[in-house]
Order: sequence, then C-alpha cells, then structure tokens
Amino acid sequence: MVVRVLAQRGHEVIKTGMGLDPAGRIKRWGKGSYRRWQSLDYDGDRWHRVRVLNRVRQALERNAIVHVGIRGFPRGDADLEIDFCYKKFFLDPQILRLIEILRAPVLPCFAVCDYKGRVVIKIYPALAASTKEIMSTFGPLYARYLREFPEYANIWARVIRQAEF
Amino acid sequence: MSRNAIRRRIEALVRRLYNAEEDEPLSEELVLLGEDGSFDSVAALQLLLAVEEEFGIVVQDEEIRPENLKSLSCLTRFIEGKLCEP
Repeated sequence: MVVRVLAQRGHEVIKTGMGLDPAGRIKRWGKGSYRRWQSLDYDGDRWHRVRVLNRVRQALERNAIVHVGIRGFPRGDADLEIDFCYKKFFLDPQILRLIEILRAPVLPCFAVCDYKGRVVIKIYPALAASTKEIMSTFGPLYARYLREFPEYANIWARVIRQAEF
Repeated sequence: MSRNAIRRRIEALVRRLYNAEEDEPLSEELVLLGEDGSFDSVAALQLLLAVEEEFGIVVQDEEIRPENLKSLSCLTRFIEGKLCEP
C-alpha cells in the first residue's frame, strides 16, 4: 500500500523483499503506477543478494525511495526489541546495519484507517541512519501501530498462522 | 600500483571490517564472499563500498561474481584489472 501511494505521487520507489510477484502486482494495480514502482527480490544465493544490495545502494544514490518491510525475530539483541503484547519480538539487525552502512535516512510509513474508514498512509519525519535513533523513534511508533491498527500489520497474519515472524 | 601494494591495501580493509588482529595472518585463499565466505551479504556490500572508495573504482553489478570477489587473491586480481582499464 505504501509503495503504491508513493509511486502514484511520482516518487521512484523500489520494493525489496523475498518472493515478490511483480506480474501479479501489475495485474492488481495496473501498469501505470508500476513504471515508477520496481522490485528487488532477495531470493537467490549470496552473490545475488550482494548484487541486490548494490542496486539498493544505486537507487538511493538516485534519490529513489527504497521500501523495506519490517522483519522480526523471536530472539535478538535487547536494544532491538519492539514492545509487542503477544510475545518477544526483535527487529532484524541486518536491515539496521544496511541502513547505517548506506547512510540512508529512514521515513517511517504506516497504512492506517481514518475515522471515516479510509486508508491513509501516514509518513513521519525522516530519521537519521542510526540504529539508536531508529529504535528510540520508530520502535515506539511501530509498537503503537501494532496495537492500534492490527488489521494492517502483516505480523498478525503470521501470528494467526503460527508462523515465525 | 603493484599487485603487492593492492593486496596490502585490501588486507587493511578486510582486517578493519573483519575485526582481525594486525598480526593475524590472512590467507591468500581466505574466502571472503559466497556461501562459505567470512562475510554475510551486508558485510560484503560494506567491503565493496570500501574497495570503491579506497581505489577510486566503480564495481558494476555484473562484476559481482565469484571469480572477481570470492577470495583475497581474486579481489586483488580484479582490482588490478580495474585499475588498468582506460
């Protein structure tokens, strides 16, 4: 949702993840927004992943927006814990390292529902590329999002499926 | 720049990123990247960025492959070749 809205507003947006389905997305959203909406799929060997990360770097150098979904783990560094009522949940340290290495400012974005029932994309001010700042600002925002808008947070779907986060 | 000089500069970068001690020998065939490599993909990117900055080169996507970057010796040869490019 966030990627589609930012692409429609004219930003070049790169969606990253595993097992992405660009063909299905074109079918759902149309080719128009897809022109500014590309995918980088990590799925592959380590060499492929390094090439993908290099493309992420190149995209940031072009001032594109790189969308990174939140991945969490049931175990991790205490500094990376998200306040989550269901069970222990820690952010992926790899993503935070990548953000720091690429010195990429982070825009926390959430899909939420307004009082009329419309979906609204809420974009918060940019955070510096520092794990400390991300955890002190994004961490509480994300915890609140999980509590107040569970219907939009993918993590709950995984909880229901009893899958690893 | 001689191959030895390139190698020494790469070694310094690898030591810094790998947190290796100054007196810890680094084998010519130390596997840096790949499934058995010492570096994960994020650390590998960090090494690429450091190499680009150190030698003033640009590593293209298609050059990110085992024969260029897998070991210290591969990386040394690769950079030597890049520095010779017109």
